[in-house]
Amino acid sequence: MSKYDILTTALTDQSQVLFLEGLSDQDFWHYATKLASAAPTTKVEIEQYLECELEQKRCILPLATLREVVPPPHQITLLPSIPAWMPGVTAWRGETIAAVDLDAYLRLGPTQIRSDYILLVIQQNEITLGLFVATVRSIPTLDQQQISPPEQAIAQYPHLAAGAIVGTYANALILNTGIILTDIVQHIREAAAYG
Amino acid sequence: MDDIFPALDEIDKSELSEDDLAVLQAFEAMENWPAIPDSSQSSDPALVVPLPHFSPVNDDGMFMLFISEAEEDIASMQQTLKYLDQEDHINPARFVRLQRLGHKLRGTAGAVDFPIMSTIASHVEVIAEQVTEGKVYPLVGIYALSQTISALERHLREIISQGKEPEGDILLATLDVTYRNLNIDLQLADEKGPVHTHLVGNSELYTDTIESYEDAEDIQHENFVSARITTPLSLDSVQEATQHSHGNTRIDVKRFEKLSWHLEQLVELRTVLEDAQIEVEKALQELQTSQMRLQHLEPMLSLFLTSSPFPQKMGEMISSSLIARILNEAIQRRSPLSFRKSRLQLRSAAVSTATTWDELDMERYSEKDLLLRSLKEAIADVSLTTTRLQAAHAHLAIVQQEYVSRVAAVRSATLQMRQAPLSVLVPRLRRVVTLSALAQTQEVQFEVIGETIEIDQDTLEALAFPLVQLLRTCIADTIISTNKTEQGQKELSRIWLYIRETGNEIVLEIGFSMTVHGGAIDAIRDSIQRLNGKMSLRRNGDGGVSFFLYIPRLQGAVRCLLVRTNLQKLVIPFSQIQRIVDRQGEKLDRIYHLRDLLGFPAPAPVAAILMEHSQSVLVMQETEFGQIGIAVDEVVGEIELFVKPLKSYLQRPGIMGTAIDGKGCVTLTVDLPMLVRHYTHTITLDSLRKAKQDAEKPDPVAKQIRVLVADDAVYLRHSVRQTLQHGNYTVIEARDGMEAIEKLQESVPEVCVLDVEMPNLNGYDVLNMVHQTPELKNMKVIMLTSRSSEKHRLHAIELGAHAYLTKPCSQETLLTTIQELFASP
Repeated sequence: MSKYDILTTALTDQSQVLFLEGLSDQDFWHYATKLASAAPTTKVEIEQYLECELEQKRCILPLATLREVVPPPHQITLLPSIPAWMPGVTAWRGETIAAVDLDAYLRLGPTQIRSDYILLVIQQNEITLGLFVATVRSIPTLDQQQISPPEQAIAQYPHLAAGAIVGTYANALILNTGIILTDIVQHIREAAAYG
Repeated sequence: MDDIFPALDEIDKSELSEDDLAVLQAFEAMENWPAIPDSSQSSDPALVVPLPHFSPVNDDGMFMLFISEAEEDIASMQQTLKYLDQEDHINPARFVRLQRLGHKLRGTAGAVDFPIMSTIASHVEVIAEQVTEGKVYPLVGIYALSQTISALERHLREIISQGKEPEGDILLATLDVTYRNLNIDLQLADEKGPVHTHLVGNSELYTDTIESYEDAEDIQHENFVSARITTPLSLDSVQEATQHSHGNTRIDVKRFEKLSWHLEQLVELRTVLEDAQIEVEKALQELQTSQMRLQHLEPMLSLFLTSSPFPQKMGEMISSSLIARILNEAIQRRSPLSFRKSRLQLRSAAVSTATTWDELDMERYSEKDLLLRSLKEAIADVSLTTTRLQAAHAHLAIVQQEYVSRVAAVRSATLQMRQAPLSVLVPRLRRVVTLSALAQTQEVQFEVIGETIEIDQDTLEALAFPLVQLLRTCIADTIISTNKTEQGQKELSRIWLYIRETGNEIVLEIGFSMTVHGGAIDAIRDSIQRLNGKMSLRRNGDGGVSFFLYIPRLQGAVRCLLVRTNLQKLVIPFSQIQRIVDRQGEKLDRIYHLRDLLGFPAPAPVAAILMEHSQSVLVMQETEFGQIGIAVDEVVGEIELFVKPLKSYLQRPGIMGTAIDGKGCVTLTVDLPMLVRHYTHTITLDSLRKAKQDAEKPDPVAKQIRVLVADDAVYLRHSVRQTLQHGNYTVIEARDGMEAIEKLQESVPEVCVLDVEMPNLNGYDVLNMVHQTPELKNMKVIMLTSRSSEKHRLHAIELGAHAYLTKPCSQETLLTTIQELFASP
């Protein structure tokens, strides 16, 4: 069975079969190419997360994107023209990565990290970033039913990119690290161009 | 042979072209032919077993048939190679056809008893196979194949003219030299695996044939010198660049990367070692101080023990715990109470054992004496140990220094293994120029300087596409005027590629002496970004455009000065600094503080005063602004660091890259000239902005607004100018993309009206440059073009255009659009 929802549907649905038969060769290849390049849409019903404590709130990040939990002390180097919520850059496995104060990023304020903060190294879509959090707590396993809709939380963080908050669980924000990472990179890039 | 190709019935014939099918059928027919001849042996005709069926001498019909077939095969090879060379991204799988053609020709040539031709054809087969398997880079493969196929063609012509196969030793030796220079080893044909060849200087592989190659190299050199006039291909540069190599061997890429990683770790240990050495030095100094104090106290103690009574204050003067304890015990012994106690103990002892009784009080005397002697011995021991430790430390320092320099040498040699000269790209670029429309209409000279500079092979491969694209786009059509000189000859157009190294960057200047076609920046922007590179352009001395590509070396060691500003340490390459002076030591045209250039926060007032006095000034190499000094809080020392480029989103003007020291601390590498340029530009803009804000009055804003109109059509520029002047705008005009960029560099207007189709860089190129220049962030860009499709509109918006108008555009629409842009936040 395919891991692609769309293909499964296409093969099981009679109307889809008829639709495919009616396609010209060119249209068929176009459709096939589109399907092949589509991202897997299979929803993982149960996913593991990491619960983190921030300055005044808690947040939950998907465990799948977490590469390492780096305990203090941290060597942070200041880089010119960076957002206020970014303390600087740090070294991770021989690479220079951006280190971001997650709490400051979420509230769009200046960084206030302490020396005992923990660095979470997150990696997704070829982007590797370090996120500073106060502490890490449990590793909850959540299914979709346990996650509350994000509308209320989104209203509290209107400046965040669309889709950055997936939902909430026990008053903790569940974050979409892919969108957060892309947004952070965009902000860092813009800070260089526009100061 | 069965191992090399699948059987014909296993292949889906519908997927094959007629040519491919014919080739495969030929394979079927050749099933029982001999195996691939060994390249090292096949040059000897005696080793190729002649087949019994026919020979060219006794069968003219068969000879003609072979010639015809061979010509056809060689033409197919050339055609395939041409297509491959024109591809932007070369797919190694496309070399399979060449492999098959080589295989076929090898077989047919062998069958008619032409061993030299069979051997050269087998080279085609083997090289193509190695490219397909990833053992040879496609670019290198194309070059090698072009040489081999040319040799095949020449050899076939000889056969036709002589009616028999001529001697081919020199030809084969020449080809061998070519392969050797390109690090291609034909012996590897049977070995599999995703590996690339790298130079390792293994001369053993070729030492037995070096002498015979020398003659061949001379001949080859002559051949290529003459060939250079007629063909764009040249091996000269490759030979020059690789002349020091005398062989090659294969290295698995993954293993090589592992080795590099270990080496990096080893290099990073240097800081840890240096820190440990400093700690040992400190401990040694403390030991030396303690020893001196002991030596100083020892005579005092002697004096004290031999005289009486002991002054109480003496104990307070003594700080050493050992001495204090000794003296304390002595005092206790000499005190009346202690004495009585001692006597009592002695008496009591006398009662128990009469033999231990000391009538002359010898025990106390010898105790004192022993104590002093022990102390003297202990001090002497400490002194001796300290001396030994110092000698061992000095020796360790020498060994450590030696170790560090050897690690640096190993790292440097390892890095060189990954590198290849940029000359490998030159034939391809030369071919692009030769095949261009421009070259068909006028004489074009392509000049290359600095092609022997080496760069990481991955970077080299990634650089091929943007360079080819840049050349192709700039000379894409014949819009370039074919001017004629006074003698009626076509004017010579020059295209040049100048390559130089600065710090950790390779700078490539691609210059055109003539007007270039637009779209180049748009075509190469993403590729350059992927390489973490930068791009700029300038009008050159010939009146054309020069593109400057700044490509960071993937990794490289740079000798730098380690400085501190605030609490942060940074490194500056020595090449950027002329000398170091005191703050008040010398009069310079300008002095900036590194902290200000970087935009770092100022220190607290007290700290600032202290820093002011301790600052050193680094005098930069002479710039356009005169002698510039850069003040730093401290010059820490010199260091050699492994600098890596930053990820594109972390790149900042004036920061070349970062290095990670042994403690895992990231150190920024500063590009001082760029930093100063960026800083002065920002300051100028800020002051201009402030002056403008101060001068602004509630009068209609339109008077203040300057609009740059870039369009190659004189009539349109005139019409837009009238419209804008009617709306009280100040108009600046540019005739093409390059002039528009130059005008923007002179001063920043509030609005830019851009045409898309322009000579010398088009509107998209200008938009790209605007997007990359922070100083132009507030400028509004309106595209005014005849391109009305949604695709072009979207592309312009994607590149940062604020509005998109299509020609013909009414005066009212243009004025309203400008007003709306300023009305919106």
